[in-house]
Amino acid sequence: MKRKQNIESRISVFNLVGLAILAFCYIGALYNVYRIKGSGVVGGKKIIRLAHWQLELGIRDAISELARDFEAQNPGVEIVQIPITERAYAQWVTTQLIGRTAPDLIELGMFNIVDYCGRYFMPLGEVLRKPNPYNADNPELKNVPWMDTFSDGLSGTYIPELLDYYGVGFSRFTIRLFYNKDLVAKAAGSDRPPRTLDELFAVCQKVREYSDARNAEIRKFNEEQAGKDGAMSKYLPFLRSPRKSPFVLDPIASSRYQVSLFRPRYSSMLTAGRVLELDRNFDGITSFDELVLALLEGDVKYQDEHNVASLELMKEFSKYFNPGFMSIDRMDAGFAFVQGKAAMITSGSWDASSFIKKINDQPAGDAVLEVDGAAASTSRDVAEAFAKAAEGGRKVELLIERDGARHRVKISPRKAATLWESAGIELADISDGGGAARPVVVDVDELSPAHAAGVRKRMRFDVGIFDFPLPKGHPVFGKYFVGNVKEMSGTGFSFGVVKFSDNPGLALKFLQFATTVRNNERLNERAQWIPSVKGAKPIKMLEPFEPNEEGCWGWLNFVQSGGRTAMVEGQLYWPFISGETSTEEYLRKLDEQLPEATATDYDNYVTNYIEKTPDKNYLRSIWLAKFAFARDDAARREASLKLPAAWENYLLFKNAYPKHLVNMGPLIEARPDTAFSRDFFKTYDAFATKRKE
Amino acid sequence: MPKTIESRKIKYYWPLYLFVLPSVFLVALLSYYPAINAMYHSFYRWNGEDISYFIGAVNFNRLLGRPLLWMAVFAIFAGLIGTARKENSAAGRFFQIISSIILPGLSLVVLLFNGAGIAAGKVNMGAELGLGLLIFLIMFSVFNFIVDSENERKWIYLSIPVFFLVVSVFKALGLDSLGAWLLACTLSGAALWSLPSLDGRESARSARVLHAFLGTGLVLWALGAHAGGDRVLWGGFYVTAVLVAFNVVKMVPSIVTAVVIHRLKSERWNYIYKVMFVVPMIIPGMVYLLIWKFFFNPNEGIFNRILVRTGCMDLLVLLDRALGWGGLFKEGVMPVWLGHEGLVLPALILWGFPWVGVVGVLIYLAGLQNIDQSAYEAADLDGANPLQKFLYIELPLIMNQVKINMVLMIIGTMQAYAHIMILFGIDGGPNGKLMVPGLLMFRSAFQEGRAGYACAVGLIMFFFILALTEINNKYLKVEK
Repeated sequence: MKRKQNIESRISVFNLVGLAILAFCYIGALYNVYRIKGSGVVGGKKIIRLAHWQLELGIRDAISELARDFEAQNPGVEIVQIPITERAYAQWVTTQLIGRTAPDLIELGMFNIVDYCGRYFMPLGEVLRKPNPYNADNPELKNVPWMDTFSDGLSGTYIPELLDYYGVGFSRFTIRLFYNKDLVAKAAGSDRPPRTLDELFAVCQKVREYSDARNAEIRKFNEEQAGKDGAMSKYLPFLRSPRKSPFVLDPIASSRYQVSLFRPRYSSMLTAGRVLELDRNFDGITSFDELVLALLEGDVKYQDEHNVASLELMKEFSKYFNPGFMSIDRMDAGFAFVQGKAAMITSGSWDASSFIKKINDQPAGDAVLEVDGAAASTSRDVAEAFAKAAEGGRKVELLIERDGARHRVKISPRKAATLWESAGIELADISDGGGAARPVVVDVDELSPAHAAGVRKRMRFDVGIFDFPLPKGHPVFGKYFVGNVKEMSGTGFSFGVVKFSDNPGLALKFLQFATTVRNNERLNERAQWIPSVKGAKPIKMLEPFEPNEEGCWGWLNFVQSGGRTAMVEGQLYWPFISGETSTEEYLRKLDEQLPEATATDYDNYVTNYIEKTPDKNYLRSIWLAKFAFARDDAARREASLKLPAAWENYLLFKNAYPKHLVNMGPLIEARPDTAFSRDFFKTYDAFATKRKE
Repeated sequence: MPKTIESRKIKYYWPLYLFVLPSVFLVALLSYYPAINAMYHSFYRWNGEDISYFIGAVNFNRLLGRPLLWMAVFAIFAGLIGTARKENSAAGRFFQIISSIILPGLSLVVLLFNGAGIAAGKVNMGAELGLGLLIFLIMFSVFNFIVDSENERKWIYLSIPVFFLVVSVFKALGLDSLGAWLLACTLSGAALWSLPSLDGRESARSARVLHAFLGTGLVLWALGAHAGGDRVLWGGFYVTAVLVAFNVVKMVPSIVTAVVIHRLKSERWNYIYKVMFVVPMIIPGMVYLLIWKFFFNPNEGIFNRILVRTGCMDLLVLLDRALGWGGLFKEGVMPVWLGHEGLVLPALILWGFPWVGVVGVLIYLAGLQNIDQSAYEAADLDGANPLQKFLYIELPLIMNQVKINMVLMIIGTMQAYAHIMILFGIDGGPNGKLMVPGLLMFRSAFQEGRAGYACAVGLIMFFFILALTEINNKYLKVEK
């Protein structure tokens, strides 16, 4: 009874502890909510919150460093960084904006820029046309409008539909292929980067053959070991003799993210010509309505040979991706490359520093200083010493250097032709840090005398960076090749100021502070990205990322971003690219499902234009009023520039429905006799929004 | 006993009302207002922000295709629920016959003649029959073992695997899944209502009610697939139905665990186990999710390694060849559980193995602790073994808790989508295999900017949850 009472009293005490923890956490959470989401002033400090999805190495530190400097110059101000994973970024920003709890500065991207900027972000044109006050001590830029201090004049953040600039970019980005020079040299015989698509696939094939050969050796060894085991070991694993693990090496590390970089790049090289052919209003792009008209009239179909070629090309690439690439994360693909489990990976300049730092943080491998008391200056010295020792049936004593410390290890070599077969190690003469080359252990066999003696292999490697090889002259894809792709040299990592920010002036001031030549260079040096401000120099490592300024753009993309077509395509593409479905099956499924989705998206597309027309009219009225009641010449000049543009913009939206009637009317009447048309109109007739004509 | 307060006495009891007023206000504000607002906006074209105008039933027309057909079937369904428990009721018989035979039969005929068709494309007869036989053998053995031979309803349980086998035969003969189920349902319904040997038997009445619900479910499936509504939504309900069915099975480990803990003699260990079951509750769901994601990693995940080490992979490869699964499992190739069209649903079902739900265990334990010790003593005197004690004392006496968990599970499964979105993306995985209604609702609102449409999806989900909860409450019997 007493024991039971004791237990009960302990339980009641535990309950109180639980309650206390709960209360503590609740109060903490309340304080946190108050601190972050309050009026923007906490403890007398003005808080500027800044959200972005850049979780790469260095960028958070770079912003923090800049923020500390800004805080030092502006006492009473605190910059709070909110990094959000890119997968949830769009949803997070949407809920924050709708809930009016959004940070003051938000990185633009992942969401519908035009819609969101119009609704939630401040236009920055007026401020951008004035000089950046932080450039006052820079004689070259002190009188230059802020926007002109950027390498692209901030053209990338200008939104024509809204007639204004909405973001300030900190960096520029391009994408390239990274490769493990050591591995490629070992597998393909040369570490020269491939220049053509043929060469790239040849390197991939050689890496695959190298991996297969290693695995064949391992399988053979394991089979021999299995032959030695007794019958019981089949059921009792601990009785088995040791086995070697499979050798994991794929030609290209990939994930959905990497595919999303490869696909537009190569599709553009093969289908950009078709994009121009389908462009009815000669604005250089095929808009969704132009695409729908082309599909209905039979000018284009999913089986278009350029489209099929681009699909087949991606499928060819996917043969060299790691198994299950479509179910792993971008980070996992990056790790595979960094750990030497893949020879290549594609990514942007934003990942360059992360990759290189992680690779260089890995073990440098054991450097052999002496063999049996004699200095070893080359790999050949070591191999010869091992061969002699094996002949004499004696052990070899090595003096090795690992992480700055020296160790002695004894290895009993076997009689064999190569060092690998004899001791289970592979050496290379490597010079780390510019000194003389030394024999370094670059590979260790898992079940070998060297492994048993504790010898460790080199994990770091040299990284090469090269541009996407062109399919020019390729026997299959060469005939569809249009040209290299023009890279957007516009600024990225752009931040917009939220309209309902409590401290918009301060937020803007921080953007100005961050985009002086010195600060932009510092930020990008720390982040190891390409600066966006004129005069700010990128670090040497980023030279291969210099953008291609000439080439084609756009690709034959049958989907409306974010719509039902995007959903259907997203669902079907991954089984296709992973080899679950053939090209014919994929195209058949597109034929089955996309017309219905296209009809839904097309109706939304037209409806969106109609619904936004009052906004455009409102904008036009504002500029008309500004023009009529301008206080000074500067304001009148700006209004006189904006007013015609506002009119044009308004007419574009106003005419969207008449344009739809003119273009689609005959087709609705005639019903072209195509499979796409039949399926499209089946949905369109049933569900299209009814409007008074 | 609760006592009703007469209106004239309110002046004496007003502090009580004042006391509950804040709660009522908060519930109204945070639960009812958003729900009513969503109902309101389901009749609007609404982007969640500034664009909002009335469009009538357009959203519902797009989702349902032919709303009148749906309403008719729902009316029959309501009639079925309302009359099914009334013994010897003519109305009950009427609704049951309609739901069991006429509606499925009519659907079959309509599908045959309106061009939709019920013929499957390429059929692997051996694989269909093999799978059907496998399911039949497993289910038949389980029901035969679990259900007491004196149980009057045993024949119903044993008919279920037979029904599955018949469906497999129809599928092997060239019908698609829907066609096979509808045909099997119509024929079995006709048998249930025409065999004279079944007349007057209480168990036959239960079988007919159960069959009527099956028939209605199949007709809803047919409407979803062929009534011209949003196929993504109705495909999603199919996935949800599969998940609900498996989640019912996944409730068993929680019940067993609770019973085992309850039977522990040591109070100390009993307490320790309870605490151990509470501790996982503080682990953030995201961590749990990422751990499982790593388990399923094709190259380095534990799950594939276990399959290889235990030899299960060889068995799966063998089954793949024998049953024609189309190369889901190949020799020397690690299956991509979270990326292959045919494996994402099994992966989601396997999720959380061994499926011991913390909240579930605690709820069952609360129920088990209320069982009087005398019931066990009486069972001991009768010579009941541990399994019999479970089947005849514990399970019937925690049926209320099972009901609660079942309702929570159904609601949870119907609403859940966040983990699918995180693991498989907003498009619902390969070929949209996991595009559940909740995910469609989220996608419509936050990706397509069609919040009004999303509200309409939510309202349809609400009706389905309500119907399933009602069935659960009415027909899951609590016999004490």
